[in-house]
Amino acid sequence: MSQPEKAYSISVENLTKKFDDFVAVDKITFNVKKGEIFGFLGANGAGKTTAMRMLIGVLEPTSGKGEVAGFDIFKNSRKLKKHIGYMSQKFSLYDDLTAKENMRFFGGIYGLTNKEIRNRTKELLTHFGMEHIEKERVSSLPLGWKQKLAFCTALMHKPDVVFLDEPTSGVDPSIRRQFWEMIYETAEGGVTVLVTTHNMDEAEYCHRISMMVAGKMITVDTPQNLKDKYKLETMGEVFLHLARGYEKEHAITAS
Amino acid sequence: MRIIRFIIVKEFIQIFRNPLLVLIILSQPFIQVLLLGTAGGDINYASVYVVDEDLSSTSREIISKMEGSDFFDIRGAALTMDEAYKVMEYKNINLIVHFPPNFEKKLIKEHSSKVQLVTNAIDAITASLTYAYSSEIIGAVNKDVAIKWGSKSLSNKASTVSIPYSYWYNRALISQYIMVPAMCVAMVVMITILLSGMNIVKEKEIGTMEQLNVTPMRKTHFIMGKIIPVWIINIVLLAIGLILSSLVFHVPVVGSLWLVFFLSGVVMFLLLAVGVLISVISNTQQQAMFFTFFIIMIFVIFGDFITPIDNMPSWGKAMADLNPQAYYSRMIHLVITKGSGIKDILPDLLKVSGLTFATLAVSLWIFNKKD
Ligand SMILES: Nc1ncnc2c1ncn2[C@@H]1O[C@H](COP(=O)(O)OP(=O)(O)OP(=O)(O)O)[C@@H](O)[C@H]1O
Ligand SMILES: [Mg+2]
Repeated sequence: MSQPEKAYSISVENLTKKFDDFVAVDKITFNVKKGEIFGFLGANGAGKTTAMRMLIGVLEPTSGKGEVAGFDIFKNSRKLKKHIGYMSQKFSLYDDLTAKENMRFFGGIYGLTNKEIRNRTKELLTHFGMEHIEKERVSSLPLGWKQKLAFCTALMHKPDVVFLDEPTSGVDPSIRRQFWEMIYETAEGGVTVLVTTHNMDEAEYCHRISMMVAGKMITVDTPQNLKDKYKLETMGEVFLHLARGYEKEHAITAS
Repeated sequence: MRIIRFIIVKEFIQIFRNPLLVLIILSQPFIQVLLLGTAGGDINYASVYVVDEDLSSTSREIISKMEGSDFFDIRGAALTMDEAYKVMEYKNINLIVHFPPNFEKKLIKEHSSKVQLVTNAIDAITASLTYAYSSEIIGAVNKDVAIKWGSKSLSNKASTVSIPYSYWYNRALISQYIMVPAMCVAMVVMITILLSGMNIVKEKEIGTMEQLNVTPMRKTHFIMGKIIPVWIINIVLLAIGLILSSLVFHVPVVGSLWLVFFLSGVVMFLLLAVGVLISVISNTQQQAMFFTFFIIMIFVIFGDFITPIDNMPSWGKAMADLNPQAYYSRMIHLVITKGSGIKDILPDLLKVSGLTFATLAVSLWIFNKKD
């Protein structure tokens, strides 16, 4: 069965998640092209993680439509999972295993053969300059290296789309830059990257960004367009401007 | 299948990277079987006081049966219970046997009658042994009476009630022969439930479960990969426990040793299923720990060890039907002490397997729904 060539790697329409009465994600609509780095920006509790968890098939949406890597997120979650990688906001590798053992384990879970696991582990670690931590227990690694390792592990099974939830929070700036280099190299290889962050400097690195406020996606555009549009210097200013504007408007309509 | 192997390997690496855990696990046969087995070791008799307000042939028969055994040492008789209680307090008597007035009359007329057994629970292990032995003697007399008086209901009862066999098959009445296998059973029950109960919930707590949920791994495979290592560990512990019991206490295994391991292996899957259930209903390791202790206590209390199941009220018996420890002690006892074959324990094995599948099915359902 041939998979029809999809125009978009991720396409989402009116995706909504309610927890009881609380609307965590409110009718978000966006598309992401193959090989694009797409950023989710938003303050704490804006709904970034919730939106992401629906896209990776672990949280059932309340309503709306979504397709990731050509699979419907409602109907095909098991097949979908084979084609995506995920790095959760909470660090989630095994502390008591070595870097290599973690990669081997997750490779095995994704059904790779022993040979594939060996080759892929070597390839990723060499490519990203991480051979020397191969035999280190994860617990002994600094946070930045842990995050880089988690990224490698999420790439073990050559996913079409990777989801990174605040991959660089708490990581020092030099490692943060290395991390973004990894993201770029990955995207150049045709992998679509969806990344969340509250860090506005990082927003500049994304091809396109979306801003979320209180579950709503208030804008989707390239960082340059946004800065031009509002005649502001940095993404931080753009974000503040938009978030304040949104809140003001909201306060007025609410009263 | 390959996926299960990857999980098993990972589990073993994690266990062996935690030396304290390995030490605790490996010390269990020594602590539980050696120490606790010896703790009950010098019990080869129990001192008894009799309060016989009936003075009938049946009551005397029971007393003489007790006198006839090496285990009971009848120290004297009292006229009232108050008097007997005092003796128990001051002279450290292990057991008071009390026949109320009209004990025999009631037995003949109403086909049932009550003997009161008061055990001195200061020494809990002696108390439970004493209780078990005296219940057996009374049970035996029950049968005799039933046959003698031809009472319909009693003879029915005599044929259905299965009295613990220890007394008959453990003629030497060496308490270790009962205690040590029982300690092996208790050890396996505890370690199996504890390790499996804490296992899956740990992944929830550290956040790796969320990561695993994003992989195409099936929950069934995950559960299998989680329980097989615990199963293997417990088979090893059981082997150590049995070697110790044979070397140190010379406990004879009358039945087949293979059968002991086979039935243990089957029961372990039920215990693991219980652990998995605890793990999936808990959100934190602390919660799981609480559930685990709670359930182990229930299993032990209703597990034919502290109180013989035959002496339980009907709701206790009903609970025993759901209790892995009850099945396990009964079967181990049958095979190790009595030398029963697979035929004798087959009904129990089937019930255990049924319970295993039911528990696993429920766990899997909750697991799929919740996480
Ligand atoms: N399982 C849940 N049940 C109820 N409410 C939830 C649940 N998960 C998330 N929420 C709520 O939904 C809102 C959005 O949460 P979410 O984690 O998606 O935010 P976020 O943008 O990722 O924030 P952060 O930057 O802090 O990670 C929050 O108010 C949160 O409390
Ligand atoms: Mg988040």
